Amino acid sequence: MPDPSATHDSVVVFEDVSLHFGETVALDQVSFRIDRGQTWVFLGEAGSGKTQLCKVMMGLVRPDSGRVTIFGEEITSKGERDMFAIRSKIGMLFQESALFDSMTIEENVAYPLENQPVRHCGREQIHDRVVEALRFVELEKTLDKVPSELSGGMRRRVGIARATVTAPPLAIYDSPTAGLDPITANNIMAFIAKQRDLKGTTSIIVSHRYQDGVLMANYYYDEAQGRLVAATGDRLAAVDTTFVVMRDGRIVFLGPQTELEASTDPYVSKFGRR
Amino acid sequence: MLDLLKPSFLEFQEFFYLAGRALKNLFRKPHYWDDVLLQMDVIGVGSLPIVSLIGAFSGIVMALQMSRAVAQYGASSQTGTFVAIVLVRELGPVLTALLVAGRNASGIASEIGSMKVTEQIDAMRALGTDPTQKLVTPRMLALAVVLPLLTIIADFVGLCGGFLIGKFRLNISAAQYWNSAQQALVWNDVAQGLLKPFLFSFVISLVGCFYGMRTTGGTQGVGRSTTEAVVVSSVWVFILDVFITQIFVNM
Repeated sequence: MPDPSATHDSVVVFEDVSLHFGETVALDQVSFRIDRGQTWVFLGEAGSGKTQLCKVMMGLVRPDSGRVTIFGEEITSKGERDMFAIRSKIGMLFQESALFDSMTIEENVAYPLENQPVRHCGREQIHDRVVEALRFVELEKTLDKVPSELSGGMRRRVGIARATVTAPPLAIYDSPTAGLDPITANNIMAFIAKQRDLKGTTSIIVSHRYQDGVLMANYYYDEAQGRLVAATGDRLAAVDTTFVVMRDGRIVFLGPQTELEASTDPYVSKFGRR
Repeated sequence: MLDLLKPSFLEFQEFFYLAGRALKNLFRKPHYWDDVLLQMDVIGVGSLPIVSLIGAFSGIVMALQMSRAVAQYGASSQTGTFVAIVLVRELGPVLTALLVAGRNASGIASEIGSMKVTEQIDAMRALGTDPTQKLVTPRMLALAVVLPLLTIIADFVGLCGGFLIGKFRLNISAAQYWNSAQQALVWNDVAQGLLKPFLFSFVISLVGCFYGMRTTGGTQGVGRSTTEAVVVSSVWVFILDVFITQIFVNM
């Protein structure tokens, strides 16, 4: 376990965080520290506490005990209204995209720009920012559509655009590839890597697919070629990826890819196989 | 016994917590006036046909029933009096509230409930808005304005329905019917006839929002909260009605 003492470079710090829902344990004494520019991949079975972990990070769920520090600010004792400023620094892609189905794609992506208390840009620039964010995920032609007209993969991409339109320094992706075919899933991961490598976003990916983590750990987005390329040498070291395996709300593994693949624990090695 | 009551008390407490927050938001920025207007349209204009229809029929039925009852005392000409009093004091507010509870408490609960189970409520919080402010307060405000207005319309249409029966079945002249109806009503009746829908509106909107917000368990959960919202709001409309009527009867 890393030393969870906060430095000015730490983006997310969890210290002995526990969360229960009645008898069920969602998180059990979870501690870790994520630094600026890192990529963290959380793996685990359904119900192992991954989604709740994201929600605690976002301040949507208050843990029963422990301390959570985001960008150097302790959030566990903050009220809902004080959270908005911190949340505006985090982009979050929800499990099923959670697009507002009564709004158009443009309104969906513009929502954080219009509603966050931190002003990101003037009213007249909102449209440009939305188009730019949608172009990033290659969906700039769907502005006037509503979410129900889009496929699952496209909705996920709109979700990414909405999460990153404010250019947040931290992005959390909750199961970005769940329920998608492998080709679409790889596409989605490419956009996440692109966001990370072009904007320098600290990225947290929650998934049950090991391939997603492998992609994030071994590839980077090359702007000149406009696609993901395999990272080697210095480049590979720069893609600083940590893997975490969770089980029943506990962290059972935390370390780099090589250690994960070498693990002999039957549960952990299940996630370390490609 | 205590264990049995505990969940209900907790539910009560949560409900009043939500109600308190929704009321407090009236005085806090930001205000979502667009949403208030939209809800007024959805709830008010949308309920107009059914409320008028039921209002007319209740007026007609009241007149028919009353005419037979008061004929025993040879007071058929007073039909307007009875229709007016029963309609304005009781049937107008309660029937309208029940209709709107059936139509809109369910609508509110299912809309917010679906948003809850698809994480849209969480997304709202994540993207910088307070769902109470954005969803609950506009619905509460819209219903508080619209329900008394709907009740007035239901009362009026009901009186017209009663008039049709008076005119064509009982041969009461228009002047006689409307005069007796007007004279029967005093300020006390009008006051309780408007206070009731105003208070019922909070029950309907807040109960609908409350059950929507605590929806869990997918589509099945949405169905469950919708049913609960209608049942609970209808029951509370009646309970509240008893208390308000009691107060006004004593005045």
